[in-house]
Amino acid sequence: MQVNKQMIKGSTETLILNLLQERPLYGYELIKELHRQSEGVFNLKEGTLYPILHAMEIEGWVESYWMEVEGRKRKYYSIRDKGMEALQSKKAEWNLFRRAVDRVLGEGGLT
Amino acid sequence: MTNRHERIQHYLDHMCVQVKAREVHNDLRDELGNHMEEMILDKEQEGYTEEEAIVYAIEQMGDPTVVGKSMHRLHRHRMHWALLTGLASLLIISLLLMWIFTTNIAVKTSQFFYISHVIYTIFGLVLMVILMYFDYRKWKRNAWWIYILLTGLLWINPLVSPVNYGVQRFWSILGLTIDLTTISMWVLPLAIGSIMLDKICVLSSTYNPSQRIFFLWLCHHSAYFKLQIGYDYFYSERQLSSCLPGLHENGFLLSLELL
Repeated sequence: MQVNKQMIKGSTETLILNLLQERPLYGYELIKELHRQSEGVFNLKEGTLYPILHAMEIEGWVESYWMEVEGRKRKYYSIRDKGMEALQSKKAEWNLFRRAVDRVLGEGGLT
Repeated sequence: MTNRHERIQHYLDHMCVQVKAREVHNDLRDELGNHMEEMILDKEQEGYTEEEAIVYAIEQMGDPTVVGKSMHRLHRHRMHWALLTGLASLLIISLLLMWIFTTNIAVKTSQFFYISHVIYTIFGLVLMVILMYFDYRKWKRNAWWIYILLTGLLWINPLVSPVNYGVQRFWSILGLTIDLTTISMWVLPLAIGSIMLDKICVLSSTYNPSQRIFFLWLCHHSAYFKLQIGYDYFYSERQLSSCLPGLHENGFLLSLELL
């Protein structure tokens, strides 16, 4: 089943930050990891990912560094304290949203 | 192979056209180019042909114009307003002080001081604007040459410059007076910094945040050290100058370099 793009859009930053919280990742790895962990639901486009990563770096949420692995120059992103704080508040926001949606859908009582 | 490379470059060219901040071009090219290459390799391992893999990668990246435009919005040059206000207020204060100082003295020569102050202020502002648009990081690979040239000139300086105001540091070339000691105070730390940066990168073949902090510390430290010495000389010059001819400050700077 495909998920509406609009629904993913708002939570992309949260998902990226959450992945980076575990370990530093480079762009391609991030997309693959998101695809794997969501069991194929999230197919993040490169054209969406990089502007978000760069914006988060300017914002001071993540920082990047170059590292040569297997003869390839890769740009890794790691989360910073400010990013951790942002992640916490985004998670709280998401939980509030999810509970509210669940409540409304549950009381709608169609299912 | 060449075909693949060319098509990736073609995509990146299209994207970079949109990004006006040219200093981020190399970074963007490396990052997205490597991403595309890895994507193509993975696709080929899955059994796709090279052609299919390239088409897939370019399709997956999205419209280069759209990506470029969103990158441009992020990496736009922003004006650092706090810095600009600081600069403007310092300029106004200095011009005002000089004006008060010189107009209250009826001596002709002191009015010349004010005019030269204004001229140098304008000169400095022009230089500032030029530096704003000129990417001086291009000189990074010439760091060794700049370092050698400046150090060499510092050695020669006391031999060729005349004794002026008790110090031997103002070197006149074709009517243009160069104060090498002051120039090297600013340029040498930069040259040493970029040489050290290369050294650090070679040592570990990586570049991670802690090294960046170390590099910044190094730059700051050497610049501060130089400034301190510069100021010390500026103030002690008058007393020292009678007994120590010019060589002392060049010599001191050099011995610092050797350390």
